[in-house]
Amino acid sequence: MDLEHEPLPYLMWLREGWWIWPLTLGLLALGALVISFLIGSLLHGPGRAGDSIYKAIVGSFTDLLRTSPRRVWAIARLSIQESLRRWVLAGLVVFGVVLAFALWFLNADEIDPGTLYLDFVLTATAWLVLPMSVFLSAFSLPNDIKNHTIYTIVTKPVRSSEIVLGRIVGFAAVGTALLVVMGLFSYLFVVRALNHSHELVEADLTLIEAPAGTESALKEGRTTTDRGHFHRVTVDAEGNGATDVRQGHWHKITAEGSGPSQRYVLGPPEGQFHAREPVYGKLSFKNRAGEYTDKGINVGNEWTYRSYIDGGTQAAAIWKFNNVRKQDFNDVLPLEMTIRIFRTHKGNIEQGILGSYVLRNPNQNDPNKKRQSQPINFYAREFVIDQHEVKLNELHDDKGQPLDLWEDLVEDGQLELELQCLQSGQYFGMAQPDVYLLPREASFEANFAKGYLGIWLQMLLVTTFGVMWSTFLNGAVAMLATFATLAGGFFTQRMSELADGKLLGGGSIESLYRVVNQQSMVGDLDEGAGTTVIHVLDTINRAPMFMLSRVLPDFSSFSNVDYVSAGFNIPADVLLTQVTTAAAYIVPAFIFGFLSLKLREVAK
Amino acid sequence: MNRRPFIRKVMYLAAVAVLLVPLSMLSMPAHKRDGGESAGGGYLARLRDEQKLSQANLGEIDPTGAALKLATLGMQPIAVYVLQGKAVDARLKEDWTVLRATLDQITKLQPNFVPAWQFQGWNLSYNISAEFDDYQKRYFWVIEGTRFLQQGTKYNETSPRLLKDVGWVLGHKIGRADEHKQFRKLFVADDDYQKHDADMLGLPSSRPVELRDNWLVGRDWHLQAQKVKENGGALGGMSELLFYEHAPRCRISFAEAMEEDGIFEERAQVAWQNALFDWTELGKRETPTYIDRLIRLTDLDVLKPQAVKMKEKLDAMPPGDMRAKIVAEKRGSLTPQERRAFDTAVEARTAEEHQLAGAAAMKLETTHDEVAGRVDAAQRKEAQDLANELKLLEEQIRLTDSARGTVNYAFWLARCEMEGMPNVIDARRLIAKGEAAYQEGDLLGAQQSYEQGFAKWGPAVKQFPIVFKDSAFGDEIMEVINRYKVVLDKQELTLPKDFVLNDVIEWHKNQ
Repeated sequence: MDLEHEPLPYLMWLREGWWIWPLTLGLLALGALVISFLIGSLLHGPGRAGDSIYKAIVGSFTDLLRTSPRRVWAIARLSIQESLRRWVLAGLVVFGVVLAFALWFLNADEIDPGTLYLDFVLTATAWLVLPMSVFLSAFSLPNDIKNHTIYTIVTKPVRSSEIVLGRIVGFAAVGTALLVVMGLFSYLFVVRALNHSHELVEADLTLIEAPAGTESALKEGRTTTDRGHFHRVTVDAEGNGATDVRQGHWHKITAEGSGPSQRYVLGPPEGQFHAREPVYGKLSFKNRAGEYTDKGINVGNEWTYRSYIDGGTQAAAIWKFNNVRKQDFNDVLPLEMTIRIFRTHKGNIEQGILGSYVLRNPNQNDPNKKRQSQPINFYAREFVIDQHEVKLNELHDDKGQPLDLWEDLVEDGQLELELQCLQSGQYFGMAQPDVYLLPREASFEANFAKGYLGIWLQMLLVTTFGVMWSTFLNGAVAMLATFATLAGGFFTQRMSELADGKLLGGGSIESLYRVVNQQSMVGDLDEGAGTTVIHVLDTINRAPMFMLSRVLPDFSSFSNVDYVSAGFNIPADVLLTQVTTAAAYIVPAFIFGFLSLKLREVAK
Repeated sequence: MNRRPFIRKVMYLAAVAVLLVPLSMLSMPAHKRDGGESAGGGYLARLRDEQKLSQANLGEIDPTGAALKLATLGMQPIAVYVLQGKAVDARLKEDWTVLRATLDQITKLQPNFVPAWQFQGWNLSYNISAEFDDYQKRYFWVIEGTRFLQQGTKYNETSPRLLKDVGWVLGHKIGRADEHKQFRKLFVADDDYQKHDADMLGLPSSRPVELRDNWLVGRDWHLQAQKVKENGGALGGMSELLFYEHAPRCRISFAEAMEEDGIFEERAQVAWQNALFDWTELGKRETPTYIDRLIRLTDLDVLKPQAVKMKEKLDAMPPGDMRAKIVAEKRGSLTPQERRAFDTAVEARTAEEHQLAGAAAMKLETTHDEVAGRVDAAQRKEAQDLANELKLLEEQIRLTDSARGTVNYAFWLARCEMEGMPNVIDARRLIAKGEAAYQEGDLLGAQQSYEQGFAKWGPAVKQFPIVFKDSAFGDEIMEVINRYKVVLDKQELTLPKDFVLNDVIEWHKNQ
């Protein structure tokens, strides 16, 4: 899995940024107080202004501290009933229709249909649930205020905080129920849609040539083509065996009957759904002279995610793994690679590029501990997860002396792996996540559910913002504001690049000018008064873009689609970071909404 | 009671009813007859049918694509733009699954935009395939690009360009890539693709193994493209000559590939003979030129003598020999320097003299009209007609010559004829044997085979000098000669003075 931005450990992330949130809130609150005081002083004099502000602060704190869970739940139940009355369950019908017709648009013959289908169901769920949450949350309060039904609530001993929180909880409960149902149907859809089999007949099998003097018992051949692929098979004398791995899965073969009437039955696809829990290492490089360096070579790729080491030299890539524990592994050390190959000459087209790796003690400066395994050779494979299993009982050093991984090579839970390309004029490319140890795999179903947690957090954010906007805007405007928050949230990265002037084609006004005049993105505009005006407007525009990109929640950071579709377990650090980030937005949005409603003259 | 609103409503309804009549005349949809042709319909439907603009005229209609277009609510161009960006990003990040799925979505949204199919089909077969190290995966993506193009042909049945592109990828990408040996083997053994290809072309079953060569399959697609073109499909600015050249060139490439694969028996001879037949047929085809004149490549042998005769006839008209007299008169108007430069031999001229000589040559140029204008009055009209006819004929010769040069017609004609001769096939077999011996280090064996092969080639050099003078073919021969020289050198021998390919060495000595 390509991880351009590796997630920080949760505690490290929290330690680095925990102070920003209270500081920002504090500054905002202080700014609001100062501005309120100034306005109040102008209108009513400083005395009355100070008194009003004091009462508002005390009243707000009282409301917050005395919020009753029972009343919140009562409001929530009303919100749920309101949602049901507004046909929210129609969203499930729409989802069902989308799934029913999805196979028109999704091609099971794709090279990796599992990734595609998982990507589709998670994306489709988000695209349905988030707009529904916008409509539910944005119109509720304004409709109540417009229809005066709000009076039936505010005339009762219900606090503003309870009204706002109750609506958030109610709509969130509806969204959660929808997500649960959609998640279940999505899982069934993916599993059913990818289920297939092939046929294997005797005529498609041939005996494998055995060494002289021995009798061959193995047969090889191929299956029929289904879903755009076939498998190569190997079966033993009894007719049992397995297929090779294609499109990320394989099938077990069992024989039924014997003799001429024997038939081969292929089982369902296996190995399609994963939730790998990799142990990543820290990557460093050696250049061709054997000197340590931060990065490898750029071979001219536009995407600089990977850097390369040259073959047939001392250049190497070194991973240092932490938390390597004996109890996590049995008698093999499973590791997986997704490195790349770059050839400067064709060489032998029919053969891959040879590489090797050694496992070694990280403490290479200590002569007593400077030990490493014999080089383990392999032919590199691109664009697949290349699985290796190092048999620990066959580990030797380069003098042929047996090695014990845990005694000789692992030091304080640390282990190093040094990888080299052996062929001169050829290169291996790698990024830090490209080589990892795989002690275990988590449950795919649990990981799938965790993928939905990201969507749930997005839904919760949308609901909170929708209710917040609706506390002081009318329904349509609140809906627009919530959609703008949602859309802006998905484009914060773009807005940030726009504000920093990193995008080709200039700012928004300049881009519009180029589009209308059909000019390309590269190249400067002609000098002149018009260009100067455009540049000035874009400079003015940068400040709000900058603020928006820093203030709006980055919705794309809550998406875990990549992890689930690539077959990697969503790390707890990622989930905790997402939950904390969501809470950091939800709390102030709720407070803002509650204060807006409180200070609003509704049936007072 | 105020009845004005009621009357107004009735009037509106009446206006709507009246307007329905012209609306229906304009936009009533056509219906399909049993034979699949459209019939009836309003003015717009009939106009669409006449101009072949409706989607049903272009090919199949994909309900998925139609549904996707509806779902974009008219923002289809924006959706396509976003998807293009997604495809570029997926390519950058090497996410081939997403790239492939995105290309499907792009073409579903605009199934009748042929350049989109062409561009992405090429992208898959040429650019994406090159990203993979494993040649089997490269082959997979070449075929994936081919399948993509073939899919496009279903929705654009009237587009010969897409069909031609399929033929091109099958021929050139598989047959000329660095991995062509491996690709060709995989292609013949690819039962799934062969079945799919046969289905696409409407063949009753998969081709037998001997007809599964990529060049022959590519040729079938070029022939299909020709059929579509002849049924009214537009080439869209592509030269018709180059379009029709592809199919016979596939036959030639097949024959070449056959010998490269070490097949030298009767099959090779038949292959070259078939190639000669196809190439000759190309020469006999009437081809339009850029000025809407039709030419035939084979006509040059007839037109040139005709022109010579007509020119002689014109020059012979009384008072006779006018061309020389006009040239002599014009010579008088040259400056002394121009005259001197013109009279100096070409190889002896300085740079300045070349310029002066060129200017002099232009001044001395005598047109047929000038000659006809000086013929005696009694025959002047006849002379003028002859001059006009001669000008047209010379233009026809120029166009034919140019077209022949474009496809190198004379070279390939001679080559097909030469390669199909038994002694040349023997020569190829012996040279191949010599090459194999050379690779194995058997110098004596290599020398023997080379010499036998060269001996067989000797008569062909005399009979078909145009083939051996060609730079690409000459390079190929020179490589063999150079290896032969190495073999001789290792035995402290040199090329014999009467070496049978001395002419070839002479022709290519500066390369």
